[in-house]
Amino acid sequence: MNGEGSAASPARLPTTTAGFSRGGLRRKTPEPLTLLRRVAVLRQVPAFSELPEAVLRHLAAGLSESRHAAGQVVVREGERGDRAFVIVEGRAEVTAAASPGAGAITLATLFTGELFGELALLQAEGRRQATVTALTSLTLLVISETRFTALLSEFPEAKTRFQNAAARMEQVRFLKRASPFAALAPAALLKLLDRLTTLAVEGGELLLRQGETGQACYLVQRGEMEVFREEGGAERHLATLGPGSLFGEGALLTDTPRNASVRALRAGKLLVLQRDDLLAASRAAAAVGWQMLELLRLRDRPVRVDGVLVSKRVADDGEVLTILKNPYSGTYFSLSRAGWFVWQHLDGRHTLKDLTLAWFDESRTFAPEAIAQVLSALGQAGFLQDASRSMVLQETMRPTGPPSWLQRLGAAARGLLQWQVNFRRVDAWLERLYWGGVRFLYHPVAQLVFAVLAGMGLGAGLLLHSRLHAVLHTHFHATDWWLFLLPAYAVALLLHEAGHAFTAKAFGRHIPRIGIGWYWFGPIAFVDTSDMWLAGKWPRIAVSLAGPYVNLVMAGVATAIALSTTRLRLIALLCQFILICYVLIVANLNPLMEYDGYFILMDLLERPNLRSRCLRWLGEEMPRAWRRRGELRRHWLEITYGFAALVYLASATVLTVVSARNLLPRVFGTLLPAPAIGVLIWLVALVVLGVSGAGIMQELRPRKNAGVRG
Amino acid sequence: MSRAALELLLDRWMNDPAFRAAFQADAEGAVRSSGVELDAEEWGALRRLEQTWKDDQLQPRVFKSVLL
Repeated sequence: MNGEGSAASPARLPTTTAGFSRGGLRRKTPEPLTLLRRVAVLRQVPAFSELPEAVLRHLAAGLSESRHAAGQVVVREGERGDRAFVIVEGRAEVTAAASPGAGAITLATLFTGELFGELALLQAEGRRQATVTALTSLTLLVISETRFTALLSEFPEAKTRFQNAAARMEQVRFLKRASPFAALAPAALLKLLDRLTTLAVEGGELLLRQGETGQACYLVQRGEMEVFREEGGAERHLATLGPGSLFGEGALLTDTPRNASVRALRAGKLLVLQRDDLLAASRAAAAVGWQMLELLRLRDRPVRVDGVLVSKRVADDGEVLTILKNPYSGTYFSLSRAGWFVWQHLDGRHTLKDLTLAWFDESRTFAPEAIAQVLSALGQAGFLQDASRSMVLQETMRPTGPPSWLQRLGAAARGLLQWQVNFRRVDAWLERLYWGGVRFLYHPVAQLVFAVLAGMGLGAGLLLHSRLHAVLHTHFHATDWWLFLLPAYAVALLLHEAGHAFTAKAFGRHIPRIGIGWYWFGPIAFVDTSDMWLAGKWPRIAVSLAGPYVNLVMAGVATAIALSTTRLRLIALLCQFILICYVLIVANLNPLMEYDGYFILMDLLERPNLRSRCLRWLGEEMPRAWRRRGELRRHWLEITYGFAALVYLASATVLTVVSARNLLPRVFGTLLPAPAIGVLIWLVALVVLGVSGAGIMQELRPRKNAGVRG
Repeated sequence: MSRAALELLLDRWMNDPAFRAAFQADAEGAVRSSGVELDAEEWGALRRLEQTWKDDQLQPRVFKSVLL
């Protein structure tokens, strides 16, 4: 860099170009800046803004210029600094190593009129505290160390400003390196910095008291703080916090009393942040909010809820699984051997760290991620007492404001297409029916008769299908569908569901609810057999098979009647009913939707939540997994089932739209004009595609609050 | 894995989101780049990471039939 301190003419001020040489060709040297332009730029620097005009002009005249291409490093962290710079044009990024030898973090982005490189000049033999890299082509004014030092000695107020700026940059660096606010963008970080106050503390000073409510949280900048809890008149040490640690945020974010006390072990310095500012920071940057949520989870000492019923069973691979049942919420949870170990330690005395160490002692495996996921899943399923703390924070982080019209439309469409009416407290009634007579249907003799009927019906149907088909064609009337078959279809459905319910009762399980409702384009009946999770694999499969089996027996009975009568009209009706039963069986055994076949497949494979796990894996892990050797082969089931389910759903959606296009003109052809029918078709297509697409996206979307994520 | 190495690793995992993300993607690589030194036995313990626990809420077993 040349021209430093020279008395150059204002019309032709010194300049130098760096990084513009390409392949031996050199660009034309740009015109130097005029003195007026230089003065205008310098005036934008806060520390220079109040300098007299004459001083600014003198300073401006003595500066050199430097130009840098995008990507070029202007100053490098650790090097000795001998110049400061003011940006005339372009943008630059300030980065620094997170810790010695570690990767760089972005501290700030600099724009026109901003000064950098001055921190090194404030100290003798000062080193660069950060690296500055040109983000775009950059034009700089260069201030030499000699000129900068002379200016500071002449104008002490400017020196104070520089020192304040240096202290501020130091705080930004501290926040970026060690605090939960590291995820904030530089501009947001500077705003946050304005809200922080500093607090000097003495050794032994009590900073927070357990049970009190508070309006501030604290970030340790210097010193060591002890976290402890008062239990039965004695103090129990929980943790020691050093620089970069945040404390007091839990009670602040969730508006609950402090769950521990904190005192300074030795003199130190804290940065204090008030509740509103912390919430604003969490709302402004989702990353900060999630970081807060993680902090809560990492530090929490979870407590399991009381009254949970525990049941054990052995999986196919020999592992003993523990099934938890929360009788209050009606939810069930499966625990592995490790999960059971964690569950037993959820007594309010252990953090995630304690649990990880304890599990390591037990199994010699290091599994913080898996334990964090277990805790998160238990909390979400309602098996932890203090899970509400995280929920409150999630509510806090939720963007405020009413839902968009698109969201409202989607919710309305879903409400219209899928709704249900639950009948609870039906278990006692089913119990009475079962013991009052239904149980005889499960007697081996009765089951033998049913098996013969089902087999005979299937066999006869296959042998005589062409004859029956002919009768169906000649003697079935369209009105028969509405008069006889629709009610018979409804009965077949109800008996199908009764088959599930009573088989569950035969295994001694509880039925929490049954119900009716609407699902897309037709009414539904349903029965909740979740209590079967406490039973073994084969009883669960038997309950799933019971529904289709009832329809198989019904088809057998209808076949027997059809074969024993000569009334062709009745035979035609029975044939149609038999067809309905078989269609119902095939539809329900489809494993790609959550019907009977899906539960059978899930239990056969011993993969609970098969569908949601596969689809979540596709959405969350697939983008990363294809790069890892062997990962795709290891997850063949997730890939196969997940893609098959997606293809099926997409095909069913398209088929529905095509059917609507063919059906609507026939149904409404005489009632509505052609353009109205066209609009109706489009409307149906949009709703079906919208709701179906939203459903797919929902299933593929990663669970953001599952476990502790990077 | 020695207690000291384990605690060092755990503190880093708990306090550094970037390390957690790196650990999730490639545990061995993340530990290697973190500067924590492990002996052969400790590397073995790290490779026994249990990432496929069967712990999850069990979805409701609701059987439904549609009248179409």
